Amino acid sequence: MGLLTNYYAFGLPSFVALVIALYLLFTGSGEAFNVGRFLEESSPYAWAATGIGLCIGLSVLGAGWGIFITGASILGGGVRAPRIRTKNLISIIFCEVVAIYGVIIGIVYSAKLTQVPDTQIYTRKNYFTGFAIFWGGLTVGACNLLCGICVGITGSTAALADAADPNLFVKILIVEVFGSILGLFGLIVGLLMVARSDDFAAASSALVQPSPFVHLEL
Amino acid sequence: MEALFFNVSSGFLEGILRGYKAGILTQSHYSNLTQCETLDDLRMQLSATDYGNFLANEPSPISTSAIADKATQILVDQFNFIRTNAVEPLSTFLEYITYGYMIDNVVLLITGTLHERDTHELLQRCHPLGVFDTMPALCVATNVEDLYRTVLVETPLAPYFIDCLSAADLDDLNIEIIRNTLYKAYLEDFDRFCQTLGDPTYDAMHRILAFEADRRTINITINSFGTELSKEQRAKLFPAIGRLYPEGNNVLARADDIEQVRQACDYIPEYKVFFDSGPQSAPRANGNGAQHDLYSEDSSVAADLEDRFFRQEVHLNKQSFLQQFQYSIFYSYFKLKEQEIRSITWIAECIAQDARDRIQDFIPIF
Repeated sequence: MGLLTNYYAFGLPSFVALVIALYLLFTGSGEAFNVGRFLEESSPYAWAATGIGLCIGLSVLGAGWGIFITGASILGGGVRAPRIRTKNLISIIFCEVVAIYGVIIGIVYSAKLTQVPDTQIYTRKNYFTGFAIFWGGLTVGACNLLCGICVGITGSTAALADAADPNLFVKILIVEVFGSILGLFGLIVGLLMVARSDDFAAASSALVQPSPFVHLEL
Repeated sequence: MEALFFNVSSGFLEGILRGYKAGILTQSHYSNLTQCETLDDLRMQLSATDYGNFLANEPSPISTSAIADKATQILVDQFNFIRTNAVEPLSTFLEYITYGYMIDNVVLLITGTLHERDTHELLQRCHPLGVFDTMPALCVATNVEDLYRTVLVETPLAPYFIDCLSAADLDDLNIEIIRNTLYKAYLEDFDRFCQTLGDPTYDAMHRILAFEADRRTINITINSFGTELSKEQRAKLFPAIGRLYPEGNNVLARADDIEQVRQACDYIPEYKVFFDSGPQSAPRANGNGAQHDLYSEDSSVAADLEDRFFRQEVHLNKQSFLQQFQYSIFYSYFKLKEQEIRSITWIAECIAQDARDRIQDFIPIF
């Protein structure tokens, strides 16, 4: 059954993509598939806003996932061993911290979103800022997602181990600390990625045609 | 990958179950219990454990059967708590656990009816985890065909009866054949179901179920020496999921004495040590010296074998707790609890009958 669902999951979209690609090729409009054009004609606002959305969205997803994994185990283990309830909230805090990283980056990035009229947004620096915020946001979001899951699973094990034997808690906590550092790495790299990018700024002279692919209503 | 979603539906129950497991009696509890002089002392010692005041309302003198019944009632209460809070697939898994007890109950009722025992008394002796609605109707058993059509077709055991409808009349030999055929079908079905649950659950459960299958294979072989059971009939009772399948099963189907059974199990190191006589190679918490000189070699090996099977079962069930985010801990906990109840009952019997030399013959768990 697993093999069959894999066929459908990977075979059908690949087949559809192949048909579309061959259609474009054989009807002479192969040039329609133009990555450079897509990058130039899409607005830097779109990139930047998507990046910020992904950043906070994926961070919160990771934090929430970790919290429910740990929380269920703390609740279950706390029935017979109520002493674990307060100590294991540390695991929940570690997961929460991951969401805070996402919020920090979201705030830092959104400070770069200034209002610029659309005739003047398509400059080199603005392109750079848009791409940097998108990929920075995706980086931070993915790091925080995986960090949150990691801390959650480890926290669940820590809760059940603590319920069985109190000496184990501090030792498993060390594993959790190392796991939560992953989110910190994401934060650092996210900050480095936008370190050199300026806020969105209007073009110094009004450009008549910023790029052949951009269509403006003038 | 199982860790990502397991806690959604079963995380809380896993925590509860591990809490139950923490309450299983340890070696120090057992040493206190074996030093009790009377059953009232035993009751007092048990009240300090997770059993609590379960015997509080029993008038003294307490009987050992009351201790066993009340302890089993605690097990049943815990099982029902987990069962009512469970969702798929844990709920189906717990259902499968009850089927084993259902088979025992069905066979008990049929046997008892044939020997014309009282219906009410038989129903009292059924295991509470294996009760189903139409059970009392089993007491009108005449032959298997009717039994199936009128009573068992609505129970979850219905698919296991496919192989047994050929048994024409019910006598003692046929009933044992029915029991073993049902159990074989149940074990294979349970194994198939565990396979759908994915890896860590299937790893642990397959080991446990394979050992159960091998244990039944060896027991059926040894118990059928000198009976009217033909070798073909015997071979049909062996489950196909054990480590002895298929070569060991074939050899055991043709075996005539214990020596051939020993040879069949030779290539599996864990089973090879079961047949070593004399000072045991497996580490034992409490010694059981060679007190079987009164009995023949065969029956002493058989009695020892049963003990060693229990120890191996306890060992495998303990191992399933080493992994998190899987379902086999639910099965293992209830088996370990049953073993603990057997041990407590044994100690109580030894105290009641003043046979203190055999009091250490129970199997400790933790």
